[in-house]
Amino acid sequence: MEREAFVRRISARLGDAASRGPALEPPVLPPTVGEDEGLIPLFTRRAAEAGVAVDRVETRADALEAVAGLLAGRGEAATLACPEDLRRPGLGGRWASDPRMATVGLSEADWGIAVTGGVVFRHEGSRGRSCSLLPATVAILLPVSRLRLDLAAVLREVAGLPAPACITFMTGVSHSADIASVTCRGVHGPGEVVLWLIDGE
Amino acid sequence: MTATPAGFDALVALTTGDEDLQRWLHDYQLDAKRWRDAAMAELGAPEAWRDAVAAVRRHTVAHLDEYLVQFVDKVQEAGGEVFLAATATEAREHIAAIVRARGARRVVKAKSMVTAEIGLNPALEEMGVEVVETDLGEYIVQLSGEPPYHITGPALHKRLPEIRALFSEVAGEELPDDVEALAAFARRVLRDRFLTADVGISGVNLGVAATGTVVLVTNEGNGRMSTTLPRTHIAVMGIERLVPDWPSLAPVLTMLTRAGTGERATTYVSAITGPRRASDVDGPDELHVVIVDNGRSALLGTKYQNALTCIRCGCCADTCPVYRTIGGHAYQSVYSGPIGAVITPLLDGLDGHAHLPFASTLCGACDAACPARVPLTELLLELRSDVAARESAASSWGLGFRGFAALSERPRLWGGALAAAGAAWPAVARLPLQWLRLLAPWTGSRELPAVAPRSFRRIWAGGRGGRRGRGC
Repeated sequence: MEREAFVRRISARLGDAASRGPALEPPVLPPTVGEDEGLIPLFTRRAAEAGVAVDRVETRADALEAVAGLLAGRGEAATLACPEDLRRPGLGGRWASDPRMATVGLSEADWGIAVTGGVVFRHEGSRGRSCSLLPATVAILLPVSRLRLDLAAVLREVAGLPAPACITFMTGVSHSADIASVTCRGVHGPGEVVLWLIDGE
Repeated sequence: MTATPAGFDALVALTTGDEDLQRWLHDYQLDAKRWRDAAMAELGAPEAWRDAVAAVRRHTVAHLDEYLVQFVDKVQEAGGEVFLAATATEAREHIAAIVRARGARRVVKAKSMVTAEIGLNPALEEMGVEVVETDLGEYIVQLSGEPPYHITGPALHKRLPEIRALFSEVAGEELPDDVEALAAFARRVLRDRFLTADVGISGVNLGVAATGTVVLVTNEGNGRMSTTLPRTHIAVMGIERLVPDWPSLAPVLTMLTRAGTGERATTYVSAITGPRRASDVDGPDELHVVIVDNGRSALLGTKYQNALTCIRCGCCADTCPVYRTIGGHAYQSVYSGPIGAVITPLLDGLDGHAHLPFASTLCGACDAACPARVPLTELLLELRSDVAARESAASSWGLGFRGFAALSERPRLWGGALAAAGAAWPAVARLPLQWLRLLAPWTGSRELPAVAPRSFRRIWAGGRGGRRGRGC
């Protein structure tokens, strides 16, 4: 339907704009429960409750070494997919040419959300969507400085940046209870998520 | 009395006659209440969160024209195409045209209620396109040829042996009676479909007007797959599903998941703004956003406007004693539970759905649970009033009430009628009850109470028992 006619019909129903109430104030949300615990312990606990294995390391090099260790522990067939800027020789060189073929995907999160134990990826350029989606195991790097208390805090920052084609908020492992109300992991998305919190960044 | 269609009665009987299913639904509601209560308690001040959601949603719907214009402009700025569909037919035809123009043979779908509302799957299948539902619950009911049973749990009614049988048929071999194994089987089958689909179709949980972003909420990852792997993504949304900006998304998303599944957050929330950029390594080349009216705008400016503030969490069904008793299929609509009893007659008209507003005890459990403060019982009562007004002119229901009103306004007439009924009842009660066929919808499951030989008024006036005063 032609846009003006479509909108005009809605406007006619709603009536005079002035009579529809005031402009929306930013939502007033109650204080977030858990703030006193501290961002790192709260995030670590909540991520673990969502099924994520969380470890803390000093530096990015330590984190990548841990990823290499994870890969080595998965045997000869294990392959890694990751964005160009995260590739390091120390990761073992067992690169998958396509994330669809990789057994492990590596991604760096742009934010962590302490209250939910979730992470946020802004997908742009080489930091695509597939590395955190297609492999059965996903490894995530998260600098401690990128931890925020709650969703509202992250969304305020999101609002101040240009929107990329996709932002993913990811909390825990892929799961479903659609079969007989029994929860199972790894339905479509990764069933294993390992996260390294990098203290030095 | 509002007649119930034969299909409704039969579907209710199917559920009420299945003791196992009754227990299953009862246990499910108890579990859902426990999860939701825990999630709300942890959040702290849930009533304040509900106020925040209601404020955002009511404001958005009251200014829907402004936010729609902004949303459409921003989607287009980001490189997406927008189509505004006044009717289900327009939406179906437009989506079919996109699919046809791409020569698509296979479409993967992420869970979407509005595509079910507009009857998209049959339309695409008629074109020879394979349509694959990829939400595990939707996949199960697609295999069984049934409509969804619940807004967030489409296969809620399916027990393990039934699902095993459905998957075994697809596999061509007997699969084990094991949930993990069945889920792994579905993952294998559907992964292939994702990788080979030409078009991905999704619903839209929310749209952010300020940036033209469509937001999808899933736990399995099928939403991400459907919007990442195929080269064309078509997102289908109702006109009312907007929020103004990112900050106003926070309370709505927070409460959507906590009310819907009792989780702090769903595993995935995808916020999609246009197709992939030139430098992006993945994502679809095209994004089409189809915005569907299909009767929604007719509710604006009416007493039903707040029905459009629903965020489709499904928690009203999780609290409803009628849903628990009659099951999701009895609503004969994509939308079941209290919100289904409201929205189905409003979008599709009262014809064929006039009984749905009566499928409620008006206990208010849905009102107490709704994270957006949709006044469900108030809306149900308004609909009942409309039904009564429509039917009173001709129906036995209206005739009966008019007769009752005439009697009750005239005490002498009322007393006489009661005395006559009391005197006649012993003879009437001996008659075969076929003569009561007119009342069959009521008496079919209830006993007709006997009329007392002497009315209370007569006993009272006659001083039997004698005393007047407190305690009577």
